[in-house]
Parts: sequence; structure tokens; C-alpha cells
Amino acid sequence: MTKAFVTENKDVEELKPLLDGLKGGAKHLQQAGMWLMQNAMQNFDHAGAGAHDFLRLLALVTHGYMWCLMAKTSLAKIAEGTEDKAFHENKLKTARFYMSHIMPEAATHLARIEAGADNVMALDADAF
Amino acid sequence: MPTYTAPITDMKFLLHDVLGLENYSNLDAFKDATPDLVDAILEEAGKFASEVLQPINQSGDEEGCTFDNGAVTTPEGFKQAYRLYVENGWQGLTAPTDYGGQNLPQTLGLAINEMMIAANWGFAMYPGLTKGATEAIIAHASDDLKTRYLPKMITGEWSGTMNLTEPHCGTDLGLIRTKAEPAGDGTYRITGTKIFISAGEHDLSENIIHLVLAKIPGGPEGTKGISLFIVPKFHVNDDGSLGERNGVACGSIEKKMGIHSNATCVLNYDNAVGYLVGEEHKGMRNMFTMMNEARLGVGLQGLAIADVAYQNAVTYTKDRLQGRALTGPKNPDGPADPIIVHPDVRRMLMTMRAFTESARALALWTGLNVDLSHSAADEESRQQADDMVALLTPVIKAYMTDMGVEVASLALQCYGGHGYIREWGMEQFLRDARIAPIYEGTQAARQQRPRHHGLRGVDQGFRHREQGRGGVEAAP
Repeated sequence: MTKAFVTENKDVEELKPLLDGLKGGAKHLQQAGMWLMQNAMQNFDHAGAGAHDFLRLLALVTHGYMWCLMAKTSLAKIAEGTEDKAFHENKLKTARFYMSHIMPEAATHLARIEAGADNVMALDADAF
Repeated sequence: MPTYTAPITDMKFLLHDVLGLENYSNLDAFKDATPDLVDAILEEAGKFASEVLQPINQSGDEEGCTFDNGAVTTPEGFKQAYRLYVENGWQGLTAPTDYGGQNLPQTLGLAINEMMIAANWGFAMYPGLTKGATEAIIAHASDDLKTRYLPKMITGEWSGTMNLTEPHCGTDLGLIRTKAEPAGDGTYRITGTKIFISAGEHDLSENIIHLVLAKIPGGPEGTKGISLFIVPKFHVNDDGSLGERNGVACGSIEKKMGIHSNATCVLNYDNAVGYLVGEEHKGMRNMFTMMNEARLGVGLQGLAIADVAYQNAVTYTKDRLQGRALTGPKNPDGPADPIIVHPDVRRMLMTMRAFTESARALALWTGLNVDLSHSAADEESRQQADDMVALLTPVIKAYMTDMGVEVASLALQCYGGHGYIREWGMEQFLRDARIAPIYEGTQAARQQRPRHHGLRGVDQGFRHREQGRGGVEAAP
């Protein structure tokens, strides 16, 4: 879904930093999904321990995709000479903030997922 | 005192320009939703939210609901506001015309719902639960039950609830003990105790239609032996008029952290007459129609509280003069600069805004997929839209509600010490927001689900993508 969107819009210069951010997030998501498929079937605790980060990662990418959709629409509106130029420019600025300051959280989530359940479950219940 | 302005411009941008609602006018769910009508409804709902609901939000929190001998009184002003809500026809906006609804898209319904929640979360829960109950009845009940209950629920004259939790079981519903004994005439007698029932008893509607999970004796163990019943507070006569009280009573209401204006009830069922919805032992599946709807609604609560908290943080940070900008005075004639000049304040505002605007896009985009899952032209598109909703609903529920809390907390932080003082209203937002990650399936349990659903969903997502389709065509 995101890949198709990235390919379709790869020549739009203004979208490039946003598409790069989306691509990065989607790559982390895919890698997390692969890791869980390869490891969580042997040990369900890996899925349980990574579930929060996986949902967050999926959420980051879907929100990133929304920012790209909105940015694309706003660029088109600006190009056709919209009356509310400020609204659309603010959309683009906020989209760039999302990609530079929020999307990087994807790497943290992936790292935690790939760390698995071992350290999460290491203490005996009696040690708490 | 906090204020709320509905984000009409942003909603119009999303509905018309990003999602292109008009492009779907050939489909049943969208055929009446002309751009002019959509805009008019957004404007009216925005006015209703800011002028009727928002002014009783803070007072409703202070006063809370009161319980006296089985009766619950909602805070001052709630009855009048609810009457207006019913008179204006908000309840039936997206309901089928067969039962008196207006058959408008769920996508638009979500936008309206966001406004109502942002203006007054506790109030918005009453009609929100009715809508969920209505959906379950539409999807699973017999025609006779539909005719008897739907029309007045769709006007909002009667309200609805969902009854799952019992004192000893919340997430693990296989443990429920509420019994449904067949009475021999096709009806059942329901006995047991349900807790944490939002809007379980109140003075807003003439009747309350409880949807109750219970076990028919002799059925399968665990969740496979659970059935779903309609249990009306007042019996409904054949001519539609109200009869005697049924055997369900409110035992008490909870004192709680937030959403004080919405009654959280203990309901005691004592030989209450219940009507089976759908088949015996299929209650979990049937209730999940309501739960999925409710989960989207709960995700929306996260977004809504984030927006209203953000709006008030913006007002305050532009107004509050403290310190000077690091790059030199921006308000040289004043004693100090407004705190919005400070990068750390900007970081907070941008984080709030970046979440709120994309969350709104995601909520409406998912709403569009809900509509398409019902009314897209071919089976494949319907299935595709349905898969997308199944994948995104847990994301929306979990992430948006967590972010609702985070954003409400950031907004409070922008107020400094005043954020911690009740009068400013920011601490109410944070208290109200805190329930959303818990109810409708606690996050902790939802997040176990990627093993069962998420991975399957993501896997499907990947496969669709490789085949060059999947959601993108379903919704841009």
C-alpha cells in the first residue's frame, strides 16, 4: 500500500522528504513483522512482549501514510491556486515535522521487538 | 474556562479533497451525501457541540451523576441538551431509512461524533452507546425485535447499553455467570450482576435497552456458550407504548477518576425478561459487531480529547507572557514574550498537532472503509475494505487512546501550574482521557492480538500490496 504510493509519487520533488520518511517506517514495520513471524511462533512470549511496540509501529506508519496523502492533496491545491494557501502550507510544514520528529520512533520500536521477550521475562515472578 | 471550536475546515479538507467522498456517490451509503449537505451538517454539528455541549462539560464534571434508591440523575443541563440532541435528529444520522434514520455515511458520522466527544465526552457516551446497540440489533436481531426497538432508539428517545463485565470477569468473558433460563414462550429470564455499565441508568431517555451477555444453562463451556439478549428497562407493549418495569435495577454507581457526567452502573438482573438476539450461543460474535463499532468510537475519543486539549494549549501559550525568546524579544513592548516563542513549547504544540491532524485523517479514512465494506460495488472490494477495517481498528483503539492521554498531558504541561488547577479545565481532559486505553478491551489484552489477528492482517496487507492493490483503491 505504502510502496505503491511511494512509487506512484517518486518524481514529485516536494514530496520526497515525506516519502523517504514513510519508506523508512514501512521498512521497519516489515522487518518487525518478519522477525515476529520467524520467532514468535516458537515462543509466544516474543509476540506478547513485542505487541505494544508492533501496534505503535503500525500506527506510526499509517499516520505517516495519512500525512503523505494530505501533503499530496495540499500540493495539488496550492498548484491550482487555492484561496486558502496558508492552510495547505501549514499542512506541508506539519507533515515535515511528523517525518522528522515522530516517525524516527519507528527505529526504537523495531529494536525493542527484535530484543524479544528474554529480558522482559527474565525475573522470577517472586522477585517482584 | 476551556473553549472548543469544531475543526470544520480540516474536516472539509479531509472529506472532500483527501478522501473525495463525492466520488462514491454511485454507492448507496453515499448517494444522499452531497457536498452541500455534508458541509451544512458539519457546520450545524459544530455549533451544537460548542454552544450546547461544551458549556456543560466542566460543570458536569464538577457535579457528576447522583444515585438515589435505584435512580440516577445526570448533571444540570444534560436533560435539556439531550432533548435538543434528539429533536435535531443527530442520533439517526447514519441509521437506515427503514427505521427512521437518514442513511448518511459512517464517515460523516465519525466526524460529527468527534465534535460531540471533544465538546463533552461524558455526554457523548450516552448516544454513542445507543448507536453501538442499534448496530448490533440491525445486524443480528429478528425483524420483530427490530421493529419493536429500533425506531425509538434511532430517534434517541430510547437509549442503549452493552453489558459484558461481571464482578469476577472483565477481559475473560468465558467466565461469566449471568444466566438466561428459557421461559418456554420463546423468551428468557435473565439473572445475574453486571458491573461497569456505562449509561446503565439515567434520566435522559424514556427507556433503556440493555444488550446483555448471558449463558443458557446446558450450553457449551466458555465463550462458546454465551448468548446475547435484549433486556428493556421498561417492557414494551405490542402497540409500542411502555409497560411495567422489567426485573433490572441499578444497584449503585461508581466514584471514578474521570467522565463524571456519565453514570457507570452496577446492574442487577433478577428474573428479567430477555429476548434472544441472533442464535443461541452465538452471543460473542454478535456482541463483537457492537464492540468493533465501539472500539472505533473509543479511538475517536482519543483524537477528540487531543484536539480540544491542543486548542486550549494554543490559546494559553499565545497569551501567557514569560521569559524572552532565545533569539531575541518577539514582543519588545511587553514585559515578556508569549511562551509560544519557546522551542520546547513548540515541540509540545507540534507533537499534539501532528498527531491530531493525522489521527483525524486515519479515523475518517477508516470510516470510509467501513462504508465501503457494506456498500462497495463488488464482493472483492467489500472484503478488501473489511480487511482494512479489521487491521486498523486495534491500531486506532490502542494508539489513539494512548496518544489522547499523552496529548492531554502535554497540553496540561503547557499551562504550567495552572494546568494542575481545576478551574482551567486541563486536568479534566487528562482524567477523562485516561479511561480510553482501558475500556472496550484493555490495551494489554488487545495487544496480545497481533499474534492472532494483526499478523494475519499485516500479512494480508503485504500480499495485497505485492499484487498492487489493497486499500489503496478501496480508499485513496
